[in-house]
Amino acid sequence: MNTTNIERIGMRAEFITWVGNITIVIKRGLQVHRNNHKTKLDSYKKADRSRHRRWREELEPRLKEFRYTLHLLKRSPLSVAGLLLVVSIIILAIAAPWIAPYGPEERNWHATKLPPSAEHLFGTDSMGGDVFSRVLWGARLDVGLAIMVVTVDLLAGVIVGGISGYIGGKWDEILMRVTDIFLAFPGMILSMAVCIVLGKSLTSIMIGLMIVWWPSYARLIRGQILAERERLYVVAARAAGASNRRIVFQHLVPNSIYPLLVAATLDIGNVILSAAGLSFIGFGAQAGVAEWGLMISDGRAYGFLQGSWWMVVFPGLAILITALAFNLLGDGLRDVLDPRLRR
Amino acid sequence: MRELAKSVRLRTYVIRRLILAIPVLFGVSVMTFTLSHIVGGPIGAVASYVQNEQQLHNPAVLDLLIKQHHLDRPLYEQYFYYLVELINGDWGYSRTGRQPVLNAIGQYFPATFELALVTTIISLVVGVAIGIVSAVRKDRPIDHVTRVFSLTGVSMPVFWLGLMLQFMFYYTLRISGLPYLPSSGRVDIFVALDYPLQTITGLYLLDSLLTGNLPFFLSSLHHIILPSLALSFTSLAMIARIMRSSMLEVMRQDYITLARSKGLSEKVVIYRHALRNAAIPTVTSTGLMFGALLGGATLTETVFAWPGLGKWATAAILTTDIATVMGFALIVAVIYVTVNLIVDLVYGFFDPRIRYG
Repeated sequence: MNTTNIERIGMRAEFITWVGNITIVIKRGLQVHRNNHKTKLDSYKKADRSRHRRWREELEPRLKEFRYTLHLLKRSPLSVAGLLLVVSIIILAIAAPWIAPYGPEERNWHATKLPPSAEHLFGTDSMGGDVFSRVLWGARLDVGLAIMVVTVDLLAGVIVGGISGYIGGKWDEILMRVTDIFLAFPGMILSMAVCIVLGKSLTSIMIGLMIVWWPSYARLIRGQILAERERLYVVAARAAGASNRRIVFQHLVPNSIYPLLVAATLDIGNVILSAAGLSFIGFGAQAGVAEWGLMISDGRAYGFLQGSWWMVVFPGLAILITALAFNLLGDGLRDVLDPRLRR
Repeated sequence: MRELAKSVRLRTYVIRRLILAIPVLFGVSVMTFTLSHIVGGPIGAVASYVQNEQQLHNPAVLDLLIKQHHLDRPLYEQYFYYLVELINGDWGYSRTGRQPVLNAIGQYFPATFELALVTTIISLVVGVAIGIVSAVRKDRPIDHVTRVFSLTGVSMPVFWLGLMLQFMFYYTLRISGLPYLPSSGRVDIFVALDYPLQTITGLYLLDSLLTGNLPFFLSSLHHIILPSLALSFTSLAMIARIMRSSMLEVMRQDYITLARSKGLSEKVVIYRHALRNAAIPTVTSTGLMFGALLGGATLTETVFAWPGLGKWATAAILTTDIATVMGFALIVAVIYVTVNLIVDLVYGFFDPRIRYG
């Protein structure tokens, strides 16, 4: 920092130099401290440093790839929009209790079906609930549910697809026929049947969707592993004497996980759509719960085609925007992570 | 000679595929059988054969039905009888449709088929056009617009879009005293009474054209606009996406570069060389989409009160009418398997490189 700068910035620069001096002092002190113990710690440190270096060497390409991925992602405005939307939706969902002016099931029987105003941004529904607050609270239910479903199915898919793809043989045949049956069975009807058996509730919708969704992940990861299994680097690893476990976890899984992540991101949007659809038809939670699909169906039943559009429009927009956000992000990720389109 | 060899290969391929379909259908029947036992509630699978609520609470009738359908036998025997009945065409009784399940499917299927057909035509034409434009003008503003549009389509809650369309083209137009589009049903009931339709195929649009019943045709055309628009929005977005990415894939190929360097005009390169090769994935996905639509667009049919398979099944499942639900599941599985096979065959038609080995 030269003198002209210090003159110009004055106090702040002084502060900076002061901080700088202190750091120098602390650093020197540490050096002295280190030098004192040099002989004792020498051997340890050598080993430690070499381990550290090895780590860095191993991680370096991955980190570089990751940074490159971020760079590519930043270049595509649509993906950035998706990422920002996803982050803000999640923040809104988490912060709902502090942002929402009313509770999720708060009713005001003197203020039913009011159009949007300053008091009620999105108007009120047929029972006097504030639509704005209910949409915010709904994000917790819908997004949370979708993330749960996709996470569980991702795990199930990795287990089943991994067994199927790597062990192969008889297991592969059996597991794939099972997924065939699930895929041939109408998904909506299967989830509905599950909801009927378990009783109409959001948990049943969640379980129903989990049962419907896992086969596609299993197929995906199996296909990935089959494709990667014969690649040269796997052959090389096998020739170098790597164990099966090492090949699966060090080579196959990291190389097959990206398409799965893309599929999962895209699927969060789809699960939200399905869940909202199911609860729209009437398989969701009990009447009055702040869930988007249910809000739409309530709005439709009580005055939508008599002109009270806000009860239906806003929850629907929430579903659309949330699904769109995850789709934008997933779509961007796919372009970025697809090795064929990458460079 | 080569033609003959090809047709023989094709036949063996079809036969092999049909044989492969058997375990899938078998598995689906196991699933419907299991579900009908679980979902049937306290009285179990016999609910599939009950004709109305009175019978449901009449022990004498239930006993008779149990005897008749061998439901007092061990489970594996029950399943065997269930299969025999399925093959003989006794799929149970649909309380929602007030007729045997197979008859009900026959009644509701044409409505679903008609809707699926119109939807597919709309989305194929528009989707392919959007996909091509987007791919040819990659990374230009129009590409971004179409990408956002198609992503919006995939993210659209169809039932909500249906409601929005109803609001705009039914409610708003109606209160402003303008001509409006009907919000529900397949045809105006008064038109149907005044100009009764002679049923040939069950497709209202086609039948009314064939018999020269113009008022009926116009009314059913009016009725199909909104539901098919709502449905096609999602599917045309999907088609546009697939068309775009396969066009981009093809445009990178060497033969496109060759065609360009030969000095062919961009138009010829795109329409003659690229489009034909890029069409293949689109054909597949359109076929699968059509199959999915044939399985009943449950939500859209419910919103527009469209008397098709989807609405029938949804109404049934809400009243735990198990025979209907299981029949629906079976027919959808059959459609799925059939459509998959047809799509694979069409694939070979479009791409002569594919051999049915």
